[in-house]
Amino acid sequence: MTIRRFAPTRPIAVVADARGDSPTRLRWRGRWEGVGAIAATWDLTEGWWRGETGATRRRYFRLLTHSGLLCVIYRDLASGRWYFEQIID
Amino acid sequence: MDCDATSPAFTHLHCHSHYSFLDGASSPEALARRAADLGQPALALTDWHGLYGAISFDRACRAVGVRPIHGAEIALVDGRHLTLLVKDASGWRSLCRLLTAAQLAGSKGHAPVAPELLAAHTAGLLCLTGCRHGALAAPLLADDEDRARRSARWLRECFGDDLWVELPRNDRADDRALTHRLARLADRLSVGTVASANVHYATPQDGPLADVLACIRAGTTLEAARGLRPNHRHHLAGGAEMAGRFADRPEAVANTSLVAARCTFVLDFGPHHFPSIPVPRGRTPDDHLLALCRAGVTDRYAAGDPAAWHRAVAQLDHELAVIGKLGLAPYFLLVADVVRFARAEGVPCQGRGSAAGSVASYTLGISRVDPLAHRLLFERFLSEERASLPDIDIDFGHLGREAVIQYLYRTYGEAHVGMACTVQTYHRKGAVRDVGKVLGIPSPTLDAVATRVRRSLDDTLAGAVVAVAGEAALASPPWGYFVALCEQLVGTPRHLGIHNGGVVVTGPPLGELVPLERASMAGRVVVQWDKDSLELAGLIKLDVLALQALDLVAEAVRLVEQHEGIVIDLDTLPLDDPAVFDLLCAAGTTGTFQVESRAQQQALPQHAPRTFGDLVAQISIIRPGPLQGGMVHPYLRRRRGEEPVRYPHPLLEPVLRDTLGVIVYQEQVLEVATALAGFTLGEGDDLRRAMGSRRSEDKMRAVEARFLAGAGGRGVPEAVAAEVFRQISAFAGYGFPRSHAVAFARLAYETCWLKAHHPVTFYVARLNAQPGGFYPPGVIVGDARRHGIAVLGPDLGASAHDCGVERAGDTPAVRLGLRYVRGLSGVGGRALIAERDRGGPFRDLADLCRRGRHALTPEAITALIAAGSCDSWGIARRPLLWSLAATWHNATDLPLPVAPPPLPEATPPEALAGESWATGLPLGGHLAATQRAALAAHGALPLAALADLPDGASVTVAGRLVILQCPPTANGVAFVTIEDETALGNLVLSPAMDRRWRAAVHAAPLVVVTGRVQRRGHTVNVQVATVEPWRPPH
Repeated sequence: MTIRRFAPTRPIAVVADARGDSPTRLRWRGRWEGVGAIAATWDLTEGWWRGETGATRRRYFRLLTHSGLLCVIYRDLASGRWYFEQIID
Repeated sequence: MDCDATSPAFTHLHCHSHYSFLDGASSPEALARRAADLGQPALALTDWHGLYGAISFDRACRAVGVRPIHGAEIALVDGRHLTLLVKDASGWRSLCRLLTAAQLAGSKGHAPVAPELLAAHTAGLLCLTGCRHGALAAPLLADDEDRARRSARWLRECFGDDLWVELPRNDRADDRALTHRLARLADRLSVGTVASANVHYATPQDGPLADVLACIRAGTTLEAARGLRPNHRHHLAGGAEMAGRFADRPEAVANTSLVAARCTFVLDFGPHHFPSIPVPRGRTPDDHLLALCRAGVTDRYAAGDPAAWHRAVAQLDHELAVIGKLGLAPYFLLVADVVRFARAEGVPCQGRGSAAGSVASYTLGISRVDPLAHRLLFERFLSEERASLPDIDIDFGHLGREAVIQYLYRTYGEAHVGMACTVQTYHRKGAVRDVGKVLGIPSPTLDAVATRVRRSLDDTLAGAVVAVAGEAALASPPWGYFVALCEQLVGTPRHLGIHNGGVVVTGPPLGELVPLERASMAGRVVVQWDKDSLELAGLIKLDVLALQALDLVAEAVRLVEQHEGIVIDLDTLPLDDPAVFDLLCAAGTTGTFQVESRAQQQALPQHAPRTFGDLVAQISIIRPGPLQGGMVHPYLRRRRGEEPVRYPHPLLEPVLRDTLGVIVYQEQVLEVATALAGFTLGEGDDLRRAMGSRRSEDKMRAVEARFLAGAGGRGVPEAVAAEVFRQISAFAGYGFPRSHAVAFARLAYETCWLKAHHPVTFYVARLNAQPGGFYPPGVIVGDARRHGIAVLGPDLGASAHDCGVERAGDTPAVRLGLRYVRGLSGVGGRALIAERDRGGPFRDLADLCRRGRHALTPEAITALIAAGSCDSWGIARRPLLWSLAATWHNATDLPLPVAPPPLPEATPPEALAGESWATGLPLGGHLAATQRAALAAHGALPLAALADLPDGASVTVAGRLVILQCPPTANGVAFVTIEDETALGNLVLSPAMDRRWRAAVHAAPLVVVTGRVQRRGHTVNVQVATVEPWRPPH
């Protein structure tokens, strides 16, 4: 198993469920992939004292797509944007 | 969503409040309210190594309909954590014993539990395996599966069915992996699992404060911190949220309700837990108390007016009936026993507070004022309807108080006696400092903000920040967070202190009722509850307080007997002596008890007390409560007939008639609440507690709402009700109960009586009872001289250790003790006197150096010479000082020549400076006197002249700083008292003047002040316009 980290993390397009809480589809290599299973979710809150621009508030998802892609993505809770963090091959 | 009725049932079993001391960010009240808002049926509180918050938590839960579960989190000696919950009464005892044993075996703030200790205290307790640092999770996170398994087996042996594996989930990356391994271990051992959020605050919004607390604890900044929790998900989550976190483990969620159901303990201590007091055979405590009181009532009343005696006997019967019904006879016997011990040991003592309203207290010798003569009401102290029981507070002489405490330990046993704690909480200034440091704000900036806060220069903390850092600062980090965090932090407990005298004595071992722990004072043990918690738990304490004025009076009485042959019986002193009231009206009260401060001395001529009752009002009105309520000036004007007596509302007339329409005494707060808003006794107790020393804004708001609603219901206009509540709220806990004021007034009267009739002994006793009182000893010396009494300096031949009375010709004088010489206040000084007693007077410097060298340093001899204590040798001080080094050397070694060269005489200011350095006292007279001609040439008047100047006159005066006060109520205005050889003078400084003042005081011992005379009645102040250090002309 190898882990590919994106540094800096790379923006991706994600479609989330109606409540906007969890991803249902994400765009990978020009294709939409359905999310099969979410293995774990977690939150990260850091640097809040630096103000909005310096703070980190993220919701992470370790998930498996229908095509078998295992990856970690997160949503930046301030902007609502989604990013790739890791791909686990 | 959380409040949804369909939300799955969930109970938090692992929850920290701010009583985990810097590891929890919410109060028990906030947590209970949150649980209620979320519809949770029960909540456990598991603070670190203690039950500090148990009582507040219990009450808060009941108030909002949540069932409280008690427990604690402990750390084992290997550093691993466990969560313990109380199932039943035996569990409470186990937990108290376990925590007590660990706390007493550890050091302050560090109480690890040994495995064998835990194994011995499992009865009635239920164990969860803890958070990520828990006994199972920590080894699993370190991949030590074996160790986790061993721990689990051991815990199952200890707790059997009452062991549950705790699964902590806080939206962290490895939550699932960890809890999966924990659950697998649980399955293997057939132990159930419970879901846990390891709660550290009520809502996610409290997360930043928790991070700040973690940094304060670690002494670091947020930027530099390592090991902060990675997110703000350690809040008291709702059932739906917990079900979501544990969607894969619904049984762990459901099990929280099972575990909660097993914890059926109800915190209720039932009847009192008094120690058994030895009573004569065949008598009950009630019988014995009756016998003691009957004997006392005869002693106190039989010789006087028969009608008063009959009333006293009837009142006593009534009181004893109430005491008997409330089961308090053993408590009274305990207090009477302590007082009897103190009297026998010659320790002066007297009851204070509401206990002085009881004839039983008076006949037992607990209080010294006759409640019938002073119209004090027993019901204020005790009544059958009252929900809570007040405790008895007794003042003892400072010197004997420790002996009294030791007597309690000795008589009732170490295991049955403990001191109440005080919970030290954050005030604004401390919050500013600690939050600022954590946010990385530079310390000069922080100091500037803290100074503005301390001096109340701004209405709000935000205002102080704007004044220091500018308007724009508030909008940007870190200031943007600073203000809110400081305000959140205020009121958060920081650590436990020791109450200054609250002693709890119990029949059962104290450590089974409440955990005990070490105090910072060596050998002292405190209980984990403060006085409010103790009271709510029904554990009555006895306040053993120290009051130096009692030492003063006792010593003066002893000296009067010794030197004047007059035996004074304080208990029979008539309370109508005109000389005492003359002294009070002239504000000649420097050195007396309670009526000597600047504020008191300014009010005395305006109030002009002529009776003991007036004196009671006098000491009560000049208090922070009435002052902040803005009630003092109306009261004084009404008393002088300058304005009519008005009542805020006609309903208040019966309550406030005696005090001219203003609230003077603490009891009146409750009476006002009853009269205006229909408060019940129980609601009155809530009001009293909300206003207490540990003031809670939340509680105050709740009480205010009830007050306004109640007053509205009686047709009181809202504006009137709001204004009355503002007065009550300002008055708060800072006023005296009338019974307390009477007890203190009696002592104040005695000090004034001694000053009026036996001034020399009064000053001697005052100078020996130090530190104490409002003024430093130098002012007492100046006051004595202004009253024509000679004060003789400390003398190597004539002085004892303490000050004494000496005859100078026909008139008695004050002889200062050697304790006032720098370096001689302790054992060295006593050893020197022992040597003098043994070998006779010291003949010369060589003799002193030889015989005194085991007791003294050369610096102490320098001080003796500079103080003039060696003047009787007939050698000037300068040559003596010159030859000291050689003489000291010669005392043990080959002789060096010691004859000094010719030296010029010291000038009077130089001699005074030497004396001031050596003793801190103006021995040879006031420095201003030596400068009087030059000061007069400069246009400066003596301070005594201020009394005759008209309002608005421009004036120049000079003096030495005595007192500088910056009361937080005065918006940055400082009040300064200066002294010259003629009088004390009162100055008022605007905030702008204050800095120049400080600079001038640092630059020279005398300052010259110009300003304008402000005259209000008999009160004279100088509003300062300029201030300069005094430079003597050459």
